[in-house]
Amino acid sequence: MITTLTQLPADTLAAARAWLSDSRAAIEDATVRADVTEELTAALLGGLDPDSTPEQLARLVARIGPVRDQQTDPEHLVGSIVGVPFDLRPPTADRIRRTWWDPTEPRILVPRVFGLGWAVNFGALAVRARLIEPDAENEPFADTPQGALRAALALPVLLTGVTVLHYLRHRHSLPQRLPNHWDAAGRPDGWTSLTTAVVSDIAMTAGPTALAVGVHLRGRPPQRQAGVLAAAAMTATAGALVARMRSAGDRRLWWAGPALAASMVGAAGLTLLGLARAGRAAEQRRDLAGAR
Amino acid sequence: MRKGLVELAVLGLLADEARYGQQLVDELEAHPGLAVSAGTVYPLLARLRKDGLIDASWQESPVGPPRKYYRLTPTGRTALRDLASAWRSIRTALDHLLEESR
Repeated sequence: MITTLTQLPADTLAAARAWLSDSRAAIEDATVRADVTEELTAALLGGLDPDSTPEQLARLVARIGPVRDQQTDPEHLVGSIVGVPFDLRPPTADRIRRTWWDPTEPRILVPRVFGLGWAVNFGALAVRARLIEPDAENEPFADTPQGALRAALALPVLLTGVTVLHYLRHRHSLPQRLPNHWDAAGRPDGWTSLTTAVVSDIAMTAGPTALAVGVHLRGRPPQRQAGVLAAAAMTATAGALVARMRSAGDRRLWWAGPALAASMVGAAGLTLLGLARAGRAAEQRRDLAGAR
Repeated sequence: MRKGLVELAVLGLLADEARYGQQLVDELEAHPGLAVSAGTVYPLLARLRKDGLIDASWQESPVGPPRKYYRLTPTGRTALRDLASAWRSIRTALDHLLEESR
């Protein structure tokens, strides 16, 4: 930790000044430029030592993140419209995971990873429900053991199997036209062919499930798997439920909308909560065993 | 400016004994001047840990489930010393200035 940038070695000092200068240039709004520059400088002072190398500076700067202003984001990929946030940057598995599970962030509704609107921060929800501590894991899911990942995989795999079996069992008794859309009261108001329905439901369950299985078998880090697992749980639940709903024909399903939403959210949330608690247990085993 | 001060407060609290997250939040919230909430403290603890100033480890608790305790590392002690002395110089300078401007 240093109190002025001049305490840095010459090459690190030059790199630090260059980064500050670029950041200052990125801020078009002059009224905040001075404040933001002061914050960035303080962040550098707090994170560097008199012997910090340019590489250490680069790592610190990467953690602080790029300085970006709505006016300087020419493609307008991030921002908000009448208070509703949007983000059009291509989503990554890491960002999905960090958005859906951030127990240190108190807000339950956070800007969605991709698109317009908000997403549920299941981590904040779990903390609020006292199901987990905000700092239960040093790095979410980093220590989640293989067994927990396999258990989480079981849900989407099972739901895919259930959906496939459903269509196999009823392939001769289902009508050629099935409901494809329901209105707010749960009455079907859109129809599609049996073939399209089957393909679509199986794709919705099997697709992300296959992705999750692939990521798991390739031995990707548990943090990477967590986001994919939650997404697979969500879509597999939706697909399985929709397949059942279609069988109801033109009967009104008043419970359909809320049930679909609740089960999708529940499946993703419980998957992430289970993985986080498994990670916490692994950390505890490691720390408490060492203490004995 | 305030963020740096909350960091100093956390490091200062951990200097005399290890504490767990909620304990730190409660002790900091007790000081209205610091205006700190759990939403500020936990991300700060994560950052301090990543920067090597504190380390975290689970310990058995006599009153319930295990808790994650935070402790200063040697690097953290040095940082605390430097931040505290920077704070004292600023405070002295400001006090002096405010005296004069009366």
